[in-house]
Amino acid sequence: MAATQQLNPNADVLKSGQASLMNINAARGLQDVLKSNLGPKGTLKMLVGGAGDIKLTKDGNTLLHEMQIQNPTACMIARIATAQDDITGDGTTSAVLVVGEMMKQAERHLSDGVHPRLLCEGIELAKTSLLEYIDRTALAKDCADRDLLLQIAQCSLRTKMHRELADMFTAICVDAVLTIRKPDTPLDLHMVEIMHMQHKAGTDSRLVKGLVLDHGGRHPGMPKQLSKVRVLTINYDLEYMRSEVNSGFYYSNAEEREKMVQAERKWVDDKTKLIIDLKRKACGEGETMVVINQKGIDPLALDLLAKEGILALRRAKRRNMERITLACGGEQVNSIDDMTPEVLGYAEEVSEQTLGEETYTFLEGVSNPFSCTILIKGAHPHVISQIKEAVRDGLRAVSNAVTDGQLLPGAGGIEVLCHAHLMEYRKKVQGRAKLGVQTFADALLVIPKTLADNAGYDAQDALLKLQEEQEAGSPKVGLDVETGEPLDPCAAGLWDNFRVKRQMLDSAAVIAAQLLLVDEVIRAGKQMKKG
Amino acid sequence: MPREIVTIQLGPQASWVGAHFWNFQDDSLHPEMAADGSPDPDAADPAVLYRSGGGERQSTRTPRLVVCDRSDGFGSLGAQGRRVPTAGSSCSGGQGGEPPPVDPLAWGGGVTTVTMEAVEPSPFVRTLYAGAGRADEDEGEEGEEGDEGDEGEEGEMERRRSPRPTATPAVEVEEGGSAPSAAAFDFEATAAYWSDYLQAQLHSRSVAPLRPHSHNFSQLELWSEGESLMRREEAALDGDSPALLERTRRFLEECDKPQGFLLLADVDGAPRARLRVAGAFGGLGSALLTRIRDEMSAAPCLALGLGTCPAPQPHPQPHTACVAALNDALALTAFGELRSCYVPLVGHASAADPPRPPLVRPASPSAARPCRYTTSALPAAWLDVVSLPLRTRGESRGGLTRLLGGLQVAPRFHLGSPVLGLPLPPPTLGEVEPTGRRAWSLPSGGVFSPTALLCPLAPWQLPPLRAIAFSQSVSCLGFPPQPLAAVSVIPPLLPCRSSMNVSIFTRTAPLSLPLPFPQFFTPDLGSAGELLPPALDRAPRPFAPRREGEEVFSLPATAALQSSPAIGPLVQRVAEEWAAQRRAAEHRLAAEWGADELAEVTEDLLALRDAYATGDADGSESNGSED
Repeated sequence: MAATQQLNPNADVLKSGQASLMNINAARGLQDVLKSNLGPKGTLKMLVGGAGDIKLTKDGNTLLHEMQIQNPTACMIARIATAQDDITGDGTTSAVLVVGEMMKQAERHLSDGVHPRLLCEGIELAKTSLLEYIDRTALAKDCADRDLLLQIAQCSLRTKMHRELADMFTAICVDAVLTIRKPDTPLDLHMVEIMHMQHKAGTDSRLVKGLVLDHGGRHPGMPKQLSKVRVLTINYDLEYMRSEVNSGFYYSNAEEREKMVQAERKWVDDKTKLIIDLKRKACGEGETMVVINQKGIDPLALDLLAKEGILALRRAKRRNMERITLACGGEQVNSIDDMTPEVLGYAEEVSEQTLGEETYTFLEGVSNPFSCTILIKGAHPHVISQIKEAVRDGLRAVSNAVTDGQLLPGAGGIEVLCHAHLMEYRKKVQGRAKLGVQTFADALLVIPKTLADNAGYDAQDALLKLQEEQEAGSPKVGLDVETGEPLDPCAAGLWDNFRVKRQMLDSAAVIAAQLLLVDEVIRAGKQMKKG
Repeated sequence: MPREIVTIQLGPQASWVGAHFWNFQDDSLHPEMAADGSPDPDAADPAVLYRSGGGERQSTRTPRLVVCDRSDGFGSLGAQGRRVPTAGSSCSGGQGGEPPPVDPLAWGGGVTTVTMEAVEPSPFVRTLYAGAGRADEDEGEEGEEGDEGDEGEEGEMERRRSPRPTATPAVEVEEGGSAPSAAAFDFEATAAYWSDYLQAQLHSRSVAPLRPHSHNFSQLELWSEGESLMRREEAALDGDSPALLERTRRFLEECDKPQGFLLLADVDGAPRARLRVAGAFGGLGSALLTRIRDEMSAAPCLALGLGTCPAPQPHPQPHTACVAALNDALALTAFGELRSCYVPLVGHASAADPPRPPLVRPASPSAARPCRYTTSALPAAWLDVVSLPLRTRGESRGGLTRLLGGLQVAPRFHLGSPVLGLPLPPPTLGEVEPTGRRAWSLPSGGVFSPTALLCPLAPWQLPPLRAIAFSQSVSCLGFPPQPLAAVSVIPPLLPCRSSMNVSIFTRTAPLSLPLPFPQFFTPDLGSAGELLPPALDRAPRPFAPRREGEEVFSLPATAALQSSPAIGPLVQRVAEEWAAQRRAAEHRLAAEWGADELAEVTEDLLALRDAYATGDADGSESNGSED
């Protein structure tokens, strides 16, 4: 009887052999699920929810989130792998594949009686050496080069979208990142707004240098099309002020009440007049003004503004307030009393578009934007979300490259190189830790193998060709998914993000080592789900 | 002009209560006209709670609502807020072919389909859906016809029956004469999700499923987990985060003159055997409200703390006891600074008594343990009645601001105690203090003494008459047409120390019950909620289920929201539990909360305890206002 059971007779215990078997099975099960996703030739998964909702995805991260994983080990792998996505935006699928493969390799050794601790030591050594190798071999590139960034974005987007659509979004993603880039400041991808409209088809999507807001003027008399627009960004309540909770509203006759109501009303009106004054002062001939308020604007104030030909938007998204000033210039006004024409931004065109019950406001034609909007169009919500997901990954890939300034050869190339490096390194390792290094090295090859497999080629065959090229010192270490032949990923413009791969190798090794070291699985708490 | 209210429901129990609440609201979508054809100023204005939208074809009203729950708690309700017809069910008609899911432009490669186990829509939903489908085809002619019929000389009962859900008339015609009765669906036994009995169609922006990764796979039992969820949302890490703030903003943006918020949140941390604890939703609610306050500092909020109804646990485990104490303490204190009135309702506080079931009898002896469907019906009825003055067409009633302003007699007084009265026979359980055992009947009966039937809804709350309220707001439905007569009844009914702070709303029309409202009334009750004669004299009859066709369609009802020391014992208990569990809670929260924040909680809790102390009420009030 296990020690735990002596303490708690109700606890379920799996002893060492069973425990590692369960972990291995879980890891491999997860690998099997995600395997078909990898690479441009992977399949798209259509998830149909319990209520009939459809979700289309090719992203390992989303899949792991959506799948209701019951097995505790699989849960753990999924969580660590998806945490990687939070940090780097990609690499979830690869991490799961490598972990699964590593467990598969380890199973062989474990059944031969190798102690898991030894394997882990080897894996640990291999990881350290590998990370150092990657740091050394990463290619420093000029990542401000638009052509290079295009290649990177293309590489990421083509795995998730149809080729034509991907190529269109490639330019969009790169230009978006280049727009928001400021020298010497870290990239903030929040400054790229992603807006979607259920309208036309995906190919009608575009990059809006400026901003698209998901609401419009709430007054029928406001203009829908404006040109030469001064943009006022305020964060100021233009609503009829109600009295505070604890104050009374005392009056003794009707006139008094009327007066008090008027006085309260006047307060808002005065502030609105200040805006109108500003408009008269700042706007020259043919110019007009748009007011974008983070807080509310009540109908009477809207009315005043509409009479002046001002388009006013209320309750703008907080993040948009920042984006507007970055895109149009000017600054956000928090105190309405000291407004000067300098706080105004400028946009050439402002227009409103209504689709069904949704209204969109476009601010375009801005001179020097540091914020922009990717406008995604699509016929169905699930197509939109599929594109959105791809675009998000594309943006992350480009911004990672810009931030890193370093790249790794893609198309499975870096895995082949890493394998070769580890095989070299293995010779230097003493003792049985070699097995661990071997395990790690072999596991890495799952990436090129799966790529070939998904593209319909013989995995072993393709892999051997790659390894032969590598041994011959040729740069042709990547797999061409169109032909199944080796190709030079650097020449073909197939890149992997440095930080993604680095993170992936790191977390894969950590997960695998943790799983291998488990020698008892105990279910004692109520909260643990059924395995 | 409408004074819009945005409703936010967070958590499973909140959704169950909310579904009942929206079913009540369904009635307001079919307004009754006064004799001269002008709208009744005291009738509910749908524009307050509903947004109207839709394209050119037809306008639809959907609740101005954000509902957030675990993604597996939505049942057959799709993320679009509409029920997607599933293949094989009877509701495939009407909607045309489903578009091809994969756009060939967006993806040219292979597709693997992974299908989750489908959640079958409940028979009720299917009936609704089938009706809606057919109604679409008929382009509303049917509805018009129905309306005309209503105007006619048909009796109250008939009128109640037909206009309710848009779906029923169609079904009625199709299936030959009789509306499906709620009894036929047997909700108490079959409702597995709140969406199983929800009549309303939700807007797609309303539905905010919470996926496990968006709360870091936590159990959602700790208050602080809700807050971290909000932080994660702010960082915009997930593509499919619930985006609560954004959803609320979109609804607010449409409002011309927002009146405030109704927040229903699960706050309990009570341990229980089957249901999962959901204390984090309270934290989520207060975190959300804090962020809303950045943008709308003025709009008040009526926050209802709900909980799953716990079976009393004799020996709570230390682990859960500390969680419960923490959640309860934070629930009572957190809303104080957010311009909110916090109303603890059923199930709140760890060892709370189960909601007293005097109003309704268990439908069957085996259902004696409270099921979610029934426990959530009472708070919903209370909320509907008490919030009616906020939703009337006439503006004179004042809004949420005035309601809350009246209740908050001094700083620190932000707790409300709920009381609900329904005209039901004296309970078999002796716990509700019946001062006069005479039951309430409709005016024709002449007896008018609702005292016996008032039931406190908060755990440990003192029954009415035991405590004198500081201020209160009462609304009575189904009272005789002279408001003065009703007013004269109220003071002895719910004693209040100052008549200044009493607001009373009376309406002659009774509370009409929505179709799927629990049909668990005893046979002693007539279809208009009147007590049938035998019940007045005799001891309660043994339970017998109501026969089909004998449903109760409406009830007179009274609901009160008081600022009252009646809530004192609850605060007292929470404070005691907190004192006992504080160390453990500090330990549990060490990573996220500083010691001084928790010290603040302790301080606030003590202040609350003093403020609502039952003993010397005068002293306590001055205590409260000193702070």
